Amino acid sequence: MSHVIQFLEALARDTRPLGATGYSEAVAAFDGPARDALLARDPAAIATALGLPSTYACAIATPDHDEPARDDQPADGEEETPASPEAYAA
Amino acid sequence: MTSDAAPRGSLACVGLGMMLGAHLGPRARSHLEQADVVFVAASDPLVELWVQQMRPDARSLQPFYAEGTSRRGTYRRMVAAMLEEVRTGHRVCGAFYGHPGVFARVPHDAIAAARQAGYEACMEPGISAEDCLYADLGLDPGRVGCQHYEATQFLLYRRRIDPSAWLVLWQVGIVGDRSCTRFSTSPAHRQLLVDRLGEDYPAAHEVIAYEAATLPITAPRIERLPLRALAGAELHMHSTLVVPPALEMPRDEAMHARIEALEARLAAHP
Repeated sequence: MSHVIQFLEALARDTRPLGATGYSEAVAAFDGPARDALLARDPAAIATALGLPSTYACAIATPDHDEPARDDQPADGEEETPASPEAYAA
Repeated sequence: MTSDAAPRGSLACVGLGMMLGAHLGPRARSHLEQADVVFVAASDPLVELWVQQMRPDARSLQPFYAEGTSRRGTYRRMVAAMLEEVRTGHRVCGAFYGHPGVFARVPHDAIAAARQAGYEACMEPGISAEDCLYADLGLDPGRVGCQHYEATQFLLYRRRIDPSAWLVLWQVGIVGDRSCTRFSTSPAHRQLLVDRLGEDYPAAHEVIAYEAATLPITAPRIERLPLRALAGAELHMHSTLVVPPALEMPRDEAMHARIEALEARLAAHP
């Protein structure tokens, strides 16, 4: 379990202002790259310090919900068909 | 409270909200904690790690993504992975960043598929990027109205924009990607969007690049720029374009007159 994540969760759930000094003092409890990344308030650096990728893909929508564009081809070679509930039925 | 019914597969798609630790509702948390199998689609690796603190066995949907692979197929595979566990008889929770039903194909498709196959399926709302946008920008969608479109869909279809209302375009960082295979598109793609918006807005019209904060130690990105500069702006997969109204709401004098006449008739013959 990551203490950095616990720290961030605690900050997120407490609306009392910590102030710059209080934040620096709280962050001083961490070591090395995690401390530096937290001080810089740099999410990508925090992720890297924890051994995580710096960014994630996050799109979960398509421009054509019910049917794929007619003239595009899937890059991974699979046949594109509209998703339907039946497609996932056992 | 427990049920005496035999164990049977079910699906709950829940929203994690946008900010780590701040937006998870009690019902969503309960589904996360009680499910046999948890899948997680987070917008941020730190948010995913936070979910994995609650559920160390949570399965990330992130490996399903690959640049160059159509997201349509990616989404089908995500749905299939969740449905496979439902069919096995497990209580499955799909935890999605933001709201699982807002600009989110996978949860809707998964719930429809589960119900089609006779399983119980539900959605628990979460705090979406749209909700954060209203709070961060001080924007009330009820004041003059607000239109929302997926950015590429907005380009590919002729839509009637009302420039007297707000316009919000989602996934603007991948605008113009018909193939759904890219994690970003080029300034030339964005210029097409500038050209399209230029049909209804002046080039100097101020627009806003918006990104909700996902950590309590960062601020949301609220970058104001003229429309003409949008093509060169730094945009990400999670960036949203907000276009403020350019016109006053046009008053419909004919409708005002009809209502006045109606009310006069009702007053004369109550």
